[in-house]
Amino acid sequence: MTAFDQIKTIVIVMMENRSFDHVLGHLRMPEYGNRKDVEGLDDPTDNPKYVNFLSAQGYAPFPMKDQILPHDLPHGRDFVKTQLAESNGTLTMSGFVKAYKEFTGSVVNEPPPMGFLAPQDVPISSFFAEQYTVCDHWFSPLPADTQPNRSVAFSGYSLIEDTKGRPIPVPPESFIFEWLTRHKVSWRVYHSGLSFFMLFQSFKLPYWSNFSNIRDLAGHIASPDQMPQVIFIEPEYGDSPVHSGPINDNHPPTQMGPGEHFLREMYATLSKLPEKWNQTLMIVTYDEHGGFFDHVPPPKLRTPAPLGALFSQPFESMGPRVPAMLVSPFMKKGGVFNGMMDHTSILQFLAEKFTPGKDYNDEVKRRREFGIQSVSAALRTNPDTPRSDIPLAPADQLEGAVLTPPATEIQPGNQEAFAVAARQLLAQDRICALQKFPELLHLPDK
Amino acid sequence: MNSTHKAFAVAAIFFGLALLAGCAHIVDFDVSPRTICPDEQVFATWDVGAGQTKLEAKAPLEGLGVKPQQGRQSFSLASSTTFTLKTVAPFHSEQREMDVTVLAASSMSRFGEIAHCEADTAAPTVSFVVSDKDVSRASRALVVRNPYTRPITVQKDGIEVTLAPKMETDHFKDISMIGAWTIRAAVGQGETCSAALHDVGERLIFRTQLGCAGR
Repeated sequence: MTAFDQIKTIVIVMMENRSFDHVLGHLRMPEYGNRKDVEGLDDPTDNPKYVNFLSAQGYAPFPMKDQILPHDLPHGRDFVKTQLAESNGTLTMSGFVKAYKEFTGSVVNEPPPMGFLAPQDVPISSFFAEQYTVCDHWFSPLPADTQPNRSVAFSGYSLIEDTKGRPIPVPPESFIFEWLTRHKVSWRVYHSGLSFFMLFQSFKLPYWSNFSNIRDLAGHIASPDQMPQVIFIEPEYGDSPVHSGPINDNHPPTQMGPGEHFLREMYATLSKLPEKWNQTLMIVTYDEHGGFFDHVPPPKLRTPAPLGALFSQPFESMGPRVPAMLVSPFMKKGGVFNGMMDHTSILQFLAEKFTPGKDYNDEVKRRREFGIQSVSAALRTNPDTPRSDIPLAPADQLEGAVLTPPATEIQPGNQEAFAVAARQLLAQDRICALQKFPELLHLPDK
Repeated sequence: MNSTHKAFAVAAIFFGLALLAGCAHIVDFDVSPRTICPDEQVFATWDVGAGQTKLEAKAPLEGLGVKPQQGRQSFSLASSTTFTLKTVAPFHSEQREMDVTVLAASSMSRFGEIAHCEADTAAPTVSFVVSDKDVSRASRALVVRNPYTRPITVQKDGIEVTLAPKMETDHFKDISMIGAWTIRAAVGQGETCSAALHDVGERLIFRTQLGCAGR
């Protein structure tokens, strides 16, 4: 039996707002593993090909400590256009510092967008890359911010081009919960705080029965019950207006320590029982680059506004690369998959698994035909026998793993979207809403 | 005035104060030049829409602290520092940072921009202007270094120097950094301009050790 067939549970973890080079660019550097098979950073502080410009002065990538940043970074559609800095038809990736100046008004010698992290600052991401498989050409599907990219991740389409305080519309029948339910695929969401999924217009009340608090995950795995076929694991989002625990979604300006701690816990929990772990694939990725520099120009996949879109200008390329790791006993140690991927690689994979021979929908098919590969392509480069070892993740030694103060600057649009969804939930069924999210007691009035 | 009227009046006063205080918003904040010689002056200018305004710096400087909402102030700096303008209002706070570099013997910088090919038979070229808003007029490019594995030609104020790969020159040490510079990359035999442009990452830069006139 192939690894593809043996995997019975697909776990999807989508973190927030970091680029590939920022988190995993170090993998290629001689002092951090010297992995020339990974498209990471080559001599980053001296490589003229990475230099970004502001008023003719050049800024190179620099080693940055994981920290609370003074500002969020620009990552809306217009700012990403500045960052990609197209010149004569080529995306030069030279405008990250310029966009930072335009967004924050600040000019500093070490602009945060150009910072990259060392393994000691991202020990779990680095551990996943070292012990399992890293996908080094996984792009955010659109050169835009959170909501458009998460919309593509969970429906294939985006009817929006920006992040605003409104329910996220998606074309009929494309929302992932509709698709999974229609095809009788068992699924469950384990959420830390408010769930991002409730921001979708297609979200329906009955879906709540498939939601559990993250604290219940360990108990569910320990039980003799069969695992759901698809599991979504959500961190505590910084953009949420109320919190049930420390923010750990990795969205700047908060640091990555809490997010790394969260990933460590998820890995430890999922891999606790070898018989269940041997049927599990955990996909860890990020919704978009969050304004951090990445040196690989995104592919020029044109995405026209779909029918019913709230925008008209087509997207002329994909977005910058994001970190992506495949963690499973079927993934060999130190593996790398260089094929072109994006969030629809997951939807392709689900369709292959649960509706063989049929695409998830037309947009996922269009992206597949452009060359976006399925997660199964990465799986095929690995043996069909599960590994017998379960490597131990590095111990918790992160300062950032302590309770993080709420972000000083949040995306007002996304926070408003969370608040709108939360108020709607309270209006629909206050008792159920407060049982699921006790923190909603503290939701400010409109 | 009955109690209902009083309650309305109090609410109105609070609402009015909130409106007056508004959201702290920095309209503009600049410090220039951002690269200077030791003991030169920089000028900080700011314009804040609302809120209490505070100017801070990492270096111990006189004249920092609470400021009016618009202003301009000079500072003499012996060492590099970061200026931070902060505004605080009841519903929103904001800050901006500006680094100022005081040139020292080891100050290395990069200058350049995205390059172009005028024609495929030409060479990748870029022209850019270094402004006195960014760099002091007293600054000098003591050393200009070619970071590439192909020759580049650097030109300013009638001085033109071709630099072999990874080599450097001091030919620009007596002229100001301020003004228009041109960098041109050599094209190999049989190589097109666009291939050469791609090879240098679509951009051209030189590295420089900046110093100060007469020091």
